[in-house]
Amino acid sequence: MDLSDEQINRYSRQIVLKEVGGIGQNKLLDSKISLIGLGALGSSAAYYLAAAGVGTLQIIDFDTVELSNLHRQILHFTKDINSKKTSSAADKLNSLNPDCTIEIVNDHITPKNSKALLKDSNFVIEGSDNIQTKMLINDTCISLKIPFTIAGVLRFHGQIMTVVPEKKTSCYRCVFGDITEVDSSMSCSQAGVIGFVPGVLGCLEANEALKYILNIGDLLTNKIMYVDLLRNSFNFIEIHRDNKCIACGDNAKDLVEEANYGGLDACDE
Amino acid sequence: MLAMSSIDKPSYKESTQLDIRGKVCPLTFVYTKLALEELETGRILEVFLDFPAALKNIPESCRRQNIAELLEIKKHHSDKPEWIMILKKL
Repeated sequence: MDLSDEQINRYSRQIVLKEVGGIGQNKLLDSKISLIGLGALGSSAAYYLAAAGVGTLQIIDFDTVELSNLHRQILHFTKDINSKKTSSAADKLNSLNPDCTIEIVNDHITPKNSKALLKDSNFVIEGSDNIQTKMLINDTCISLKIPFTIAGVLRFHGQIMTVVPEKKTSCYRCVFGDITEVDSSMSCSQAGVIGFVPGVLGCLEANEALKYILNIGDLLTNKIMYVDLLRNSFNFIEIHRDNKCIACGDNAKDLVEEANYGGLDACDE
Repeated sequence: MLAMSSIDKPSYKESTQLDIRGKVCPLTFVYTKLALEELETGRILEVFLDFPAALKNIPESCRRQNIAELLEIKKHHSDKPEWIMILKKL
């Protein structure tokens, strides 16, 4: 596909990179990335991916914008309070880059719809605020053999890991097992979060997607990157695939149909 | 992307021509790089340009990214600041 003069100009600062070029730019324009959650992680990830010229961005969220979201969820403005996050996000992303087609899913992601929603994706970015959804995305993407990245944030720290099912890298369940219930005092609303932390982690998630699509650099596979912005530390924790993992182990089954996601049918984004 | 120029006679056999007159850096290299990506190894690209800084910047970037080798730079017009840069795709 020939790039237009406008596209060459728009993407010139990344086409100029050895790792991207016109070939890489066309790969991005041909790609589809799905993003679960249009909160703080999703805001920065979606913004940079749309700007980079990802061809299709599927954005999935059921929630509406609240005043208390705005210190960190940078896709949403004060005027968007009470609007659907998907329409607020699509408004900004369409304005940012008309090359990027925004597909809106204004719904909960559940075991019933997760495979149908994600099956055409080249990469999935998990940016929800709860472990049940993270488990569901892990299991769905392993079943569909779609690479994905998961991040989580709290207070001044965050963590991120990437999973490439076809390469059998360690998955979220290799680390966290079958946890579906957590202490609610550990949520962002209770424990708090500084806005820059999901900003940084969302950028890292977008970077993982871009590197995978372009087949460049190193992914955050078989490790967790742990970020503490209060202490300025970026640490890596090596993890190993668990042969007995219920999601990706040697005798694993497709969990989406039968696992307990803690009542995810009615769960938050 | 810019159409290959047909107004200038190629000076190399079986070369491809790219007219980026009017373009400034870094777009001079971006257009050159995109044209080189279309070529097979060993093929010649003749770049018509009029932005003086590109005479240094294009070969330097091509060398750094190992995508082309500079063969020569020729004056295109004696009375105008225009040049033809001959690159060989690596």
